[in-house]
Amino acid sequence: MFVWKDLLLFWRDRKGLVLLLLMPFLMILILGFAMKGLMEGSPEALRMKAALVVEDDEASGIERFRTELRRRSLPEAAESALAASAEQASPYTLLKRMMENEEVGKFVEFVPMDAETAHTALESGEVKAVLTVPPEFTYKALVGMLLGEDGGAALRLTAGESPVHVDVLQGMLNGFVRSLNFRTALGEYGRPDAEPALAAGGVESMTDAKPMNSFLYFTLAMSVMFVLFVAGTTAAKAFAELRGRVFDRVLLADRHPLRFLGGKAGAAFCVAWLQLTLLFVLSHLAFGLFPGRPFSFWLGLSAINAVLSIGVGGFAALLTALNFRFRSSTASSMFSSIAVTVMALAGGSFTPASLLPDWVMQIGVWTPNGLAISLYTLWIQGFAAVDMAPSLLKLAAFAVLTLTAGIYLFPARRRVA
Amino acid sequence: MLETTELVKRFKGTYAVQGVSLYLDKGESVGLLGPNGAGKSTTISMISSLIKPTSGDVLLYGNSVVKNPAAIRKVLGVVPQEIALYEELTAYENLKFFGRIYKLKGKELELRIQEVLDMVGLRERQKELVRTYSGGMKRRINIAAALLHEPEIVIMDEPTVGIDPQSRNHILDTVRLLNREKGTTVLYTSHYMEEVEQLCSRMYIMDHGKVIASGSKQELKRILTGEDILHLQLDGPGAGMAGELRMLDAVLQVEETENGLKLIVAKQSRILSQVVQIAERHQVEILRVHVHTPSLEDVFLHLTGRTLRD
Repeated sequence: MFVWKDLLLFWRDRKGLVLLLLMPFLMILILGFAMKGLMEGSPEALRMKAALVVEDDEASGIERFRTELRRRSLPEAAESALAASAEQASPYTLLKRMMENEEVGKFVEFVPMDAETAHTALESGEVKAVLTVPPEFTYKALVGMLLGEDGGAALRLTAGESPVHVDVLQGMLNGFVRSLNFRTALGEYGRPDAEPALAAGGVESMTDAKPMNSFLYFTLAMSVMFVLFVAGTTAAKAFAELRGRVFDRVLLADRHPLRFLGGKAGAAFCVAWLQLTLLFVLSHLAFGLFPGRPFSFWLGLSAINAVLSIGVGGFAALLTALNFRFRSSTASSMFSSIAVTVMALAGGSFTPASLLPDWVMQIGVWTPNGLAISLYTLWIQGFAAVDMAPSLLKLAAFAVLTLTAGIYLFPARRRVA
Repeated sequence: MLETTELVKRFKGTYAVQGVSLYLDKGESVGLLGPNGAGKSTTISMISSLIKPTSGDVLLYGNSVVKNPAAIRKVLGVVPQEIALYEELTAYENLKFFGRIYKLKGKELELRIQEVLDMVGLRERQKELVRTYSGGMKRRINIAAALLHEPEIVIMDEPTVGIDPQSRNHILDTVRLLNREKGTTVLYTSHYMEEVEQLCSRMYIMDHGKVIASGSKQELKRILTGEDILHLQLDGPGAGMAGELRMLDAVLQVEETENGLKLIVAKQSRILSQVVQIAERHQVEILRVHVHTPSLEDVFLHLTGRTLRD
């Protein structure tokens, strides 16, 4: 009866319904179109110009490395093998090959410049970043690569104010460095024909499924963010019942307060599940997100909706308990205005998690929305249940934890009025 | 039937109720009078088991309500001062929900809903949202929600505050019906003296958390048997002469009214000539003098030094 009444109240609250259903759908529509180019990895959208400032002298670096080899009095065979490797796998040559790579060329055009011109170009916005190959890069990198010592070689990237572009470039350079290290570790420097595998940015696809497009991404991102508002709204409505003395009627009818709390969690669960399901169906109909997917796919999606909705129910119970304990709606207001935004940011509802700093990502994987995005992504890409188990368990644990905390904090019947 | 013994409630060092003892016999209609902040609502909350007394007890048929709140909850209906309803639901939906929390269901629930709607005269409008109702209609549904489970005792906390005369009359009729025809015991809280005079056989007067007087209407009026009430209608403000009037031995209390002054004076004191002289000194003309016997309102003023609506 409590759930029935709360669902009826949700249904009658037309403004609330607009916020819970229409708003996220509009956001999906707007952001889906606005970020279409970026999200689908279109090279045109991400294309950038970067200045290349070379302060290193490759030839003299190799020569200096040879001198170093002679100084160390290595066996002749080893010395000549290392010298040959230095010629064939010079780090700067590999870097040049990366920059000339056709895939990389789709994203970044490297324009050689001197340092001063490069920085003027960066300031004027003519280039998005400056990549500097510092003096002695070749020598230091060879010492690091071939002699296993810390040569202190590092490329310098100076970025402008375009985080997405810079992320792409940085991703490429990190990929280059990782490939170089990997190659060195495997001792492949003896095979100059083995090109390092370059990370060219864009979307990685781990299964046969197509990469996510912007509409699919924002359907997930906005749904998991807006579903959290259900918890805040439920708790705010519960507090209105306390303030308006309706809750007193429940106590006077000798109903246990936990039934009231259970009603809140149950209603939040139902509304959250309906909201998620409706958003997925609407988005699918509008943007053709899941063409030709079998019924079992929808069932799985619905099951993930249910797990996330239990989490929302738990949150609703916890916030209701806090509102009642402190006899103020601050907990639910702060949740809706601050906590949801923070969780949405960390959980990847505004920007794909892969573009976030590592520490933010680490927080994000513990948020219910972050966990849910990860679960949806795995399911949509056709991963097995075993791959989804860790996220599923975390989300379920989260739901149990919030629900338990809510029950524990909810004031006992004689203390509430 | 119901009795409180030395009820005390202290909130963070402040006493809201200090040693209130009262009783209700079965089928009685008892008034609890007092201005805002007198401690009436806190007393009601303790009687209805919503808050625990700091000390003292509430006894229902001799059993402690503090120890066993479930006992009173079964037989008690409380009409709170606030409109404790869901405004976004219809009257019918509200009553259905509140009926179900009292474990009513099926035909019995439907029957009770229609009965209480009849009682408050809103059967025809039961399918309308409560938020579209007038203040008076909301108050009537507020009462109906407390009557669904046919309680033996009904506590009404200021049920007629801020409503139109038609709804007010309807509510007063409902209370009469409950008490006289259905034998329901009623504790009626108000700061409208005339309502309590009409509805209740006995009354308690509370002020500053204490019961300062109790008894039947006649018993309470006897408090002022030694006094007369003088109404002076003046042609100007009486504030200036009020101070001087208070100095007179026979004058017990002076209160400014809309068009003059009201004096409580010792019975048969011959002070009229002195009053006229004081008025002349203050250049105020007395247009009319009216002497009457004390009402309960006068009793309250006498006991507390202020009116019920202060």
